[in-house]
Amino acid sequence: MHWSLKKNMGSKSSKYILTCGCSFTDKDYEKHTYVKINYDPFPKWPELLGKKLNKPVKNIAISGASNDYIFRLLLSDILENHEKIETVIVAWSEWTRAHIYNGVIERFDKPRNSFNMSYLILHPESKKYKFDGHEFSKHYWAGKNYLDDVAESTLRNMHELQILCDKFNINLIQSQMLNVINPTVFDKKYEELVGGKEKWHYFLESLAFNKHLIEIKKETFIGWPGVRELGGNALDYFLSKEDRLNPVEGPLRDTHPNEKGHELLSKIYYNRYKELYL
Amino acid sequence: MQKYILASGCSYTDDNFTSLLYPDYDTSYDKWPSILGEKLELPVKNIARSGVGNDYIFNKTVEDISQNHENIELVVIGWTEAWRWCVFDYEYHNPMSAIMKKHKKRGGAGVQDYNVMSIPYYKHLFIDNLINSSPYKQSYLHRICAEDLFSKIITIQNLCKAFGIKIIMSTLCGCFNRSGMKTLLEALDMNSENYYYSVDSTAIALMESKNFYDVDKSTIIGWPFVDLLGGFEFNFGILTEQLRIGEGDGHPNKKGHELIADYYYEHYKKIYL
Repeated sequence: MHWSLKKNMGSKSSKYILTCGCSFTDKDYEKHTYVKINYDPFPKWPELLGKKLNKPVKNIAISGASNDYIFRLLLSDILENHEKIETVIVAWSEWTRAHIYNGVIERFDKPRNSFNMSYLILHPESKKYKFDGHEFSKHYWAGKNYLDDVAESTLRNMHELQILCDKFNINLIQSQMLNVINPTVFDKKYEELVGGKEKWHYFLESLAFNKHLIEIKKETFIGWPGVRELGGNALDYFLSKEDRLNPVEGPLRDTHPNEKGHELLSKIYYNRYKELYL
Repeated sequence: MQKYILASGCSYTDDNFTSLLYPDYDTSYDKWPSILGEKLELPVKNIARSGVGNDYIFNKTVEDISQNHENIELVVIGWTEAWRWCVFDYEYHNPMSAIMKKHKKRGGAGVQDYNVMSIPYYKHLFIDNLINSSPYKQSYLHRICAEDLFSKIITIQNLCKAFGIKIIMSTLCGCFNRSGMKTLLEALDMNSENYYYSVDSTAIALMESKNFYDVDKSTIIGWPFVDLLGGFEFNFGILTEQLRIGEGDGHPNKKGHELIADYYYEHYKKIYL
């Protein structure tokens, strides 16, 4: 398939590529990881992509970021520097993450800049925080409208980002990096807290009928709409065990991409960039 | 199509506001955005909603500007209490009202149960995360709130500038309510030492926060919000008792809304006419 959204690239030669996302994109992931293992720093996919395209890259991704926070980081940078930006590439994170007060460092048991309603359900330690994380998040999952707002929030961010890039004649590539919602929360084990598969199907329906869905240009979105049931994919699906830092179950497990994984991701972005803008 | 004024905010701006303490009080009078619209002879789209925090105000304003910028002449915003927050657009957290409700005080009227249920979390967030873990201690909360608000203000200012839209903002409900903050923190952590909020410490927290000097102050009524720095918030200093609904309900009455509209109109004339 070949999409051509080629714009006047001549004047864009000295501009930079702006990338944003969560830990899968964070250039300093090694510094921010909670897994007690030392990794030697290695280039992440934005840096590798920049080398392939021979273009400067500004990577503002932050580990733990929610999609709302990712959008705000991008919005702020685009509004301030739009004349210097050639392309925006965003790797959206889990949709159930939320942040408070401009992404202030939040501590449940570890530093983070967002809280994740799925994490609060799945993490056994969350009941032992100074507040009951299970109880706090249970309330959200129990409400029907919660999942409507989860869908609305990220789709709105995707749509607004597209409008903004169009306004400033900036190239755009969007992608869903992680599962939109961690599928484990819909397992039978958590049915009482979350609502089981029925809740997942409700979410899919909400997503499918959301007003922003038809507005987003699918050719600029890798794996659109990021959910397998609706014909899409998260980039995380493409990473095998060999592409991850330490996929073995246990306290040192870390499924973030290793050097090989980042190389693969950079190729995926490069191919889409080539199809759209070269 | 005639361009419109986009108005955004909390209950101080909400067209459908009703008093929870005085349910029989007639609040059908025009709110300040409508009065401003009459003065400027422009239609008004009021997306303000009672109970929301600055997150919601920001998100909904950015959404409307992004999608309808060609039809917007002027954006007017009345920012609200800085400690409110929401999870997506789903539920509005107001720790202060939760405390009021728990202690059966009047300010807790109409507060949803999940706010009260979340009090252990508020305590964790404010006391453990934001205060005890910071070298700035209690002033860190003001600093964080200021940084959050200033970053929202700058982003919306830049967005309006990019789309050629006029903008005027103020803090209506009181972003930096010192006595409120003190009450809230004492209620959340009764065993701690008393929290001390002086006007000096608040002013310093604001001035030392990121982005303070990047805000375009010309578009803001009352900048920089703290009296020591020559600013004001409508809820503290402008809205006298005669301009409010009644004891325990500080929302502006008809005259209060007229006064707020006058401020916005005068500011509009000053910078745009």
